[in-house]
Amino acid sequence: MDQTPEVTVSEFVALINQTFEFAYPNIDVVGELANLRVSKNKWVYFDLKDDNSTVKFFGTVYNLPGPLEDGMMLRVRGAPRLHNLYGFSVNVIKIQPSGEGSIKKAAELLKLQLVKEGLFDPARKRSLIYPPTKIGLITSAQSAAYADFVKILSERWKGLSIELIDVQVQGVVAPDQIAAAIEQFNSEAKVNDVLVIIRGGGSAEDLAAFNTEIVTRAVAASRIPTLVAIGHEIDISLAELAADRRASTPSNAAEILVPSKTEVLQYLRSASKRLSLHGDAALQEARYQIESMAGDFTSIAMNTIEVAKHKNQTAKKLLQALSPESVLARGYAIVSSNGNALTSVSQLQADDIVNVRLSKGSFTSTVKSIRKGNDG
Amino acid sequence: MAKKTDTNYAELKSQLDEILGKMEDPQIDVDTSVELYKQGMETVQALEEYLQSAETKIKTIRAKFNQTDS
Repeated sequence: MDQTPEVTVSEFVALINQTFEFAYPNIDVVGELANLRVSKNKWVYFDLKDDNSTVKFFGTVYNLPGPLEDGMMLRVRGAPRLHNLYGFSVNVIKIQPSGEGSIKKAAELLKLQLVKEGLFDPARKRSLIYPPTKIGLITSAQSAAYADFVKILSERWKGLSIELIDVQVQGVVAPDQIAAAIEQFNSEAKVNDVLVIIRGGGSAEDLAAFNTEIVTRAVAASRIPTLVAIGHEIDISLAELAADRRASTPSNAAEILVPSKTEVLQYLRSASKRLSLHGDAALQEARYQIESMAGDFTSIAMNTIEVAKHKNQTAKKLLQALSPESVLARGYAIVSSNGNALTSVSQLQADDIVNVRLSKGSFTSTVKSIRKGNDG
Repeated sequence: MAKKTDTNYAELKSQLDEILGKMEDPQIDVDTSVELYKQGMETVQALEEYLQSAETKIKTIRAKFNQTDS
């Protein structure tokens, strides 16, 4: 009997897909990106190829770790699937750049885009509360970076509360975990003063999570100020660029976060010594200055009065000079007729009687003859 | 018309200036001139007294300041 199964077309498709699901629910394929196409800002189509083969992949923009370019090597986690109409393709679960070259390239592309968006703008950077009392820490609890950081922190400063969210700091799940941790800290009712994200050194592949779009944006969007210290590399990760402050190592991070209590105590001791030395001298100096100012004020006030007095005396002299008495005293006379003082001979004729008043005494007089003046 | 009440320096001074201005008028007759002269001298006197008391006030304040300065 013929054992070959017989099915309809649709049954065939279902059967194949069941087989895929059973055998390879997930599989990571590494290959070169080609023919990348994004449709309606939602659907992503691309091929992965190597020297001998090409396979189609289908996903959404949410799978993208950042901007990508044809030619980059990718590691794509997907589920193979036979579409009932469109043939075979792989449904994308996760996309990561693969290999140092592609990782660096992906970071470069993402950086360009985010710089354009202004995410790394120095104006966005906030200053950290110094010193903080509550620290939110995102790192791997098993790492040396974590142990170093906590040790140096507690040596330098007391009274700190450190809240830790333990995450993967490398690998496929790292970006999502790190971003989720940042969001979780941000959603607490009583938020920490600062979020610290650290990890130790490693290869480009190890540090890749801190160059992904999801982590970089999460750091930039954090309402709590952030301090990020990733690896020892000279290349600064995008998450560090987006942070409010960056440190080169976990120890450096501790130095930036809190003062050293020994240094502070030394400073306070020497400051108090200097204060008591100079305190008296400063007091004397201040007193002297006030005294001088008081002296100046008095001089100015007195001077104003002197000037006014002088003006008064001048006015007095003018008054006297204008008075009839002083005019008469200089030998002038007031000649009046019918009680009115005369200023012009046109008011007179011969034989008129006039009264003449001198500085001392007066007499009457009769007009003999009249001479007109220059302007009479 | 003579104001010898408690006015301030500015008022007294402007009063004096007004009197002087009138006295400088060539049209003025003798009797008015004499009257103005009398008012003028009274105002001068008032100003002298005013300024003197101001001087004394300053000296008093200065002395008080020196006392309280310990």
